[in-house]
Amino acid sequence: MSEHRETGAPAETVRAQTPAEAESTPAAPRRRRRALAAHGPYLVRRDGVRSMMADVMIALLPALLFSGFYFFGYRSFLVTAVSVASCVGFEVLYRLLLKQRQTIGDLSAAVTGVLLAMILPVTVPYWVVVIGAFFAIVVVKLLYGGLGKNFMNPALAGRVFLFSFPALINIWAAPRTDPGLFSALDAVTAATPMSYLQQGSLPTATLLEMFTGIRGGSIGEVSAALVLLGGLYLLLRRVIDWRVPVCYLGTVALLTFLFPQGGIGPLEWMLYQLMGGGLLLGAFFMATDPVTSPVTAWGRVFYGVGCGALTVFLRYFGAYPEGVAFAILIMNAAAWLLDRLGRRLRQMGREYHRPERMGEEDAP
Amino acid sequence: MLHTFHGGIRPAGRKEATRRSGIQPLEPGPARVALPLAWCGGAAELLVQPGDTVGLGQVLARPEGEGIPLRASVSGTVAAVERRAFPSGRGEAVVLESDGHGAPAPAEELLRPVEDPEGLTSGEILRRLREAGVTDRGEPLYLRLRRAVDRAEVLVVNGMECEPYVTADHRILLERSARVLGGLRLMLRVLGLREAVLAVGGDKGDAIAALQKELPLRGGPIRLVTPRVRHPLGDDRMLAEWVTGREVPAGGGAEDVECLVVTPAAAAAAWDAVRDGRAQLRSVLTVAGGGVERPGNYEVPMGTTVGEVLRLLGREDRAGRVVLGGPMTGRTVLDLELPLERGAGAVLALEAAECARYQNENGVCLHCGRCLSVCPMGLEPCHLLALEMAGAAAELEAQHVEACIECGACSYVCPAHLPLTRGIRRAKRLLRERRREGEE
Repeated sequence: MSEHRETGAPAETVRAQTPAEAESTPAAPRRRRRALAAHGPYLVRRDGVRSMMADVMIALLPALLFSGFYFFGYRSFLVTAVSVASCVGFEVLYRLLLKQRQTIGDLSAAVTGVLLAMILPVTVPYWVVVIGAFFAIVVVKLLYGGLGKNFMNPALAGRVFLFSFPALINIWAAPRTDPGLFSALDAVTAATPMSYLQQGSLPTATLLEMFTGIRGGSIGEVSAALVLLGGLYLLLRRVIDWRVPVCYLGTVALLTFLFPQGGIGPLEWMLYQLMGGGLLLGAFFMATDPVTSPVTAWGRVFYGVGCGALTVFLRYFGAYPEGVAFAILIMNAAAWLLDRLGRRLRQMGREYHRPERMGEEDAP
Repeated sequence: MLHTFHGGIRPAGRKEATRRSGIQPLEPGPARVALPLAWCGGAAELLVQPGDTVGLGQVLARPEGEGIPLRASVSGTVAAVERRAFPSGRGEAVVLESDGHGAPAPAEELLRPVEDPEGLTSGEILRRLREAGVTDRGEPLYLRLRRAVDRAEVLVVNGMECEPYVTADHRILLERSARVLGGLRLMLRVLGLREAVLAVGGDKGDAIAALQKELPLRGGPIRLVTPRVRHPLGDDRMLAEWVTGREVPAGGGAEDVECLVVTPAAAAAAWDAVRDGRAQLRSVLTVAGGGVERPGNYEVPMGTTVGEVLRLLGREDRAGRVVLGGPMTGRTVLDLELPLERGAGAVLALEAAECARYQNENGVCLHCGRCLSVCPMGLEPCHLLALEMAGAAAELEAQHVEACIECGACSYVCPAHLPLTRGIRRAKRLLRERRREGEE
């Protein structure tokens, strides 16, 4: 019997043939009509991809609002708007040109837009944002087959691609100054905490300022408190698995505690490292992207640990004052391998032996 | 003795419409019933022919070997003996036209009540169960008990009823607690066991209270446990795993872990049969869903068709999808003239809004991992679906796809609404075909 696509429309009630009719119809190859069919469960949870994506955007809202109204001014909103518009626009265009079904309804392009903006400095020129969006959506996501088929985090890959414009990307506005809505050439700049940490010294911002967000950085990463709030929201809503952020941050905490640099006290060094750069944003919003992270529980644990170790390694020994983006992208590429290991670990507890009696055809 | 249970889901119960509805007879009764000869359990000898008048409980057919007699569930006349489709297959069936009176069969056809059931030997108990035609899960109860006598270590009554909409077992446990416990004690004697586990879902507070009233405060042969309701803990195999702590083999059943799982309905029917000599002629059914005007729990004569039940309780043409069984593991009824199986459980008439938007064949897996976290067998449904679409039979077998119990939890939680359960069913069919080809 052919499996037809379910549309959710009510099945028609059909009047069955009475025995008399069945007798009178010719006997030659009459397909026997089934009386019962198994079509799987008839109930599903209401929430779907769209609500998961909406939750991610809600989780990013505090950081975005504070950034726009308090830390960096209205330019934050404009950069985010341009990013979202470009991402959504490119996806619409791509689907139109290739005559495919539109997919922006699942909100994943919008989420990529917001995430991309969150990890860009507020002074970034708008045309650079558009290029980043193009790379993220068209190259990293759509050319691979769209949502669910990409192997790298689109927003992160788009950001890393923009390292091609180092002069434009590395202008970091000082906090609580107005970078200028249309042109950021006159922005007041300041070194970010990560640039201090990379040289092995503590940033000028205090721990409290790091926590609340009065410091330099990209649009979404400055306030550790707000990012943590968003992350907590995602955990409570069960949009993300706790294993990835906990293992990621735990590994970073452990390694930075054990190996402080510049003769600074381990605890202080660890806290600055945890709140510095895009670590919290990456741990809760980037590394947890389900498509590019492992699906098994143990796979996710190893993935988090790997991300953490790579982040610390790249921060200590890499050329850029930031290790999160590269670390996550490298682990994205290894996700399938970690899943194989995770699968084997998962099945270790069960035996799955076959019963002694053979020849059992149908499930009970 | 009780162990942890991994995975599972907790869908909204949707039981408000029927949980307070006491078991009532179907009024007016069905116009006709179809009783398949296969219910005897093997080759059967027909004792009536079209035109005969039969009384309630009269024997229509006797098995030639092991099996139970086929008894008339309504009084009336034999309309025909014809080939009919029913849930477990196709075969000859006796169609009775009901006269609505319910006149009993002549006395010699029926069993006489017994004063003291405790005084009966286990052989006599089995004989009475056989004569009364008591069945459990589609099999004669006396056969299940006899097979389990030296093999079963634990007797479990499955009163979990985890699926939404269904409340039949709940009402049986609440209204017929004494009979259920009586039947359970009889079964314990037959099996020679000292202890039985009565598992009742934690959401059935009133039934639990009613049962506790009948049971001693501590000790005694019956142990009442009330785990939190989680689908598919109501599946016999999952319950057996949970009670015994042993793993049911892939494709196996509760008996593979030395566990006999029976339904509350069978326990009550066993007591009725042994003590009162009452044959099991009716089954309690939850009829619910948006397409039914008068949802509730009804005691319906065996052999009533699905269409007739819906016609008497609601408007048949409004039904969107008619499901036999619960909404998670039930099957869609395509032919409404299907007679109800013994112990049917539930008939649901679900409207489009109640089972909306599922099974998206074009969905893409997000790797969110929810299906893994709810699978009670520890499988990876999204991965199995991908393997099935690629036709990788060897890898499917290596990933233990045959261990799936088809509970539907994975399809329920998938945010992309992937047809996971259906894909796994197809995968199992693929493996069976390959195996058959390999043997040829």
